[in-house]
Amino acid sequence: MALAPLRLTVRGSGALTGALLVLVLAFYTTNVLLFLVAFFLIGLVLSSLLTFVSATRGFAAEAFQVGRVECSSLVKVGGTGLVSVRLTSELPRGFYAEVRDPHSDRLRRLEGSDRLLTWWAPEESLQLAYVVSPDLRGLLDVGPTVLIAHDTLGLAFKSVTFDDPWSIEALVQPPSVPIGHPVRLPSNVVGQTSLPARGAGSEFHALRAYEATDEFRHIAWSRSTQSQLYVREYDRESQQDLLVLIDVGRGMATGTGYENALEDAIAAAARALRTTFDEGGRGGVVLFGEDVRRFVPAGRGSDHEFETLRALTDAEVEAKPSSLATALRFLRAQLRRPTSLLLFTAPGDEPAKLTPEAAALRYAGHRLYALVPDVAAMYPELPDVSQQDAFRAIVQPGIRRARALTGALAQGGASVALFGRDGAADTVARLFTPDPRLPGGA
Amino acid sequence: MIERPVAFAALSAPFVWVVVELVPHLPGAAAAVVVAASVGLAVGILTLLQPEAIGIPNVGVAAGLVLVAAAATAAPGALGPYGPAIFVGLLVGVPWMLVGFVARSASHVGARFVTFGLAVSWGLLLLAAAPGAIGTGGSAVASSYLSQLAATFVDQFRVFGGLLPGAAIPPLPVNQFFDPTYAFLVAVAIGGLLLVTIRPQTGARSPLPVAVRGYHAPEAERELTGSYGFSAAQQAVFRERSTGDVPLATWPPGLEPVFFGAAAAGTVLLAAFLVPLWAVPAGVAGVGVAALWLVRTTERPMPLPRPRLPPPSDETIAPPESAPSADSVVDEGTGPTADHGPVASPE
Repeated sequence: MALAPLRLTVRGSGALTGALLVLVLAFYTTNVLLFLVAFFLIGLVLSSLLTFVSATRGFAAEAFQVGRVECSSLVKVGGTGLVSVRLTSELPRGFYAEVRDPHSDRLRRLEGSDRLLTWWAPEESLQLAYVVSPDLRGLLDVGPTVLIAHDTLGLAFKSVTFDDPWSIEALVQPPSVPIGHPVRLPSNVVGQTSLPARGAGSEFHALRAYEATDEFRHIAWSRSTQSQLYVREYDRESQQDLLVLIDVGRGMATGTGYENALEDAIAAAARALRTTFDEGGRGGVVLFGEDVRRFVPAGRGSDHEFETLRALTDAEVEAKPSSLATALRFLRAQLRRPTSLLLFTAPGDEPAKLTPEAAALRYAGHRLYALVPDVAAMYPELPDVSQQDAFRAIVQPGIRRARALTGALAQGGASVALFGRDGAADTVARLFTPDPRLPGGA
Repeated sequence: MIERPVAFAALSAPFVWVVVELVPHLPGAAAAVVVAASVGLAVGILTLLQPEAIGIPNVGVAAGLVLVAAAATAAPGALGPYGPAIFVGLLVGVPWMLVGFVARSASHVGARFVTFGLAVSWGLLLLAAAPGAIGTGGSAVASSYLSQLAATFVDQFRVFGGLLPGAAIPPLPVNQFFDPTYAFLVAVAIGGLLLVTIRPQTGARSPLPVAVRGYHAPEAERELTGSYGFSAAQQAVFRERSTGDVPLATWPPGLEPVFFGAAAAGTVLLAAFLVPLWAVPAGVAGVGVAALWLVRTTERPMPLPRPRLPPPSDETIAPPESAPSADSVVDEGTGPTADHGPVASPE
């Protein structure tokens, strides 16, 4: 058992030093009155420390029972979750306790408190509970909980850290589709939430009763009777597989803080996948850095939707540049059906090497839509013109590289576009219109 | 919030006695008293106030007094026949400045202790130097008092330098001096020092709640303001959370050190009056024993006290393994279930 050591605060060490200096003054005056004053002050500090040491005997992590109670683990971005921790003291004496439950700065606290400063009577329980709302997607850390015992005068403290970390997985939530409660993502019933869209495709879907707005050519004459006409429904052509490729290499960190290219790409990808799923299409995700990190093949159903969006949630920028060529080679071997590939990337490859890879995919019958972060547009405008000019000069190599990259992919048959701050989702929205031609394509 | 003025008054008490003892024996007593008191009070007011509250009038008064002090220090004769007396008045006013700093809210506790010790020492020097300068007729020349004070000051340094080699302590004025009234007023001043120092707080100066019994907010104030889609169990957890106790007018728990410290110091003080020679060695021994015990108890592993609580029976405390993380859900391919907590809607 590792006992927490006694640590003096700045105030405590100052008080002890000050009292000892008064003792030095007493030796200077050699007067009994100064000695009495010095001993009083030293006695005050030492008795405070001794009392604190005595009150917190056995202060160690093992002296407390700690548990997370009814904590949320899956929360949508913008949703709410509960975080709580209950601590029970087994120490025989009370003390002033400060409990802190640190958490990711992406978790915004709405109600309750993640800190408590109170007198903790012996053998009583303390419980922190607070409501949080994730601002961004990702696996967000909560804890470990820290307990600090303070002496009454603020001269010393002891602290322990409990092994009670928690994670809240903030799931991406496409903004275009409102999700009510009970939510659909956690459902484990396959197909429960599928919304097959029906349109003018070529693959037969079902029969239904004729309506006045239906075209005559869709009437199923052989199945109809004199009293009831039926029409054939077909799956829409747009319900082909959509595979979103997310680059998690260093290049996707372009931007400021959490407002970077990867976050924009995640938001846009989630929106595209949501639309695909809602229209009955099949969707999947590929995360790649130097190599393919995660591959969720295209599929449908609520479980698959959940897994796909969760894969997006787990994407984190890596320190090394990515290799798009590796990812495209990997996919060429994996894809069995014609697939639309929606690619968000800022790779470290030589642009010239990407042309044959993109062309090979195109030749195999796949469509490649590539969105590349516009380096100049990923940062806010600077207030001063000269500063802005200097900034553009700094990022000029990145701009040239993005142009070279889009040019190489376009040569390989891909539709390409640049996106800036909050521009990826809008670009993808235009991509998913009935006429999916990307504006600004090279 | 009158504790700081009260503390300042208590801290000033011994130095009022110094003024009362010295000034009537000096020529130009009125001027010296005015200067001493005005310097002390002005600086005390300035230091008692927060920096943002310092106004131009206060700064002007302080600046004027500093100019007078500088002139009196540089050339006592420049201020006429009352120059030495005014200089003595300024020296008498020094402890007032020091206790003003002690009572200041922003002062560090260690600085308070040292400054208080300096003020008491200074007052002691002023009183101890007086008998040698005050004439038989009850009147003293200010300049001779200043000379006596300087000699006392330097002699004490020589004594201090001789302590380490083990030289005997000569019968100097400060060493021999003991004024019961001054000692009593120093005890009063210690009360003022405690008044501004002893307050329940953390090392970061967060005030500690001083209610012995936890005050719980009304039930309605502990409920969630929104539903958030939480389960009934989660709402109960939020409702039953602990809150910081609201400070009440009760004696804060954990202030035993104040009693212990006061009792220890009182014992030493009593011993000092009864058997003065034994008071200091006893105090040194007591401090040493306490320090040793402190060091031993902090470094030696102590056995845990036997738990008095029964095993936790609250079923709502979920061990970590029963609440799988998000990763485990994906790896096992089971998909999310209600056990993993809600995925609440934004509304």
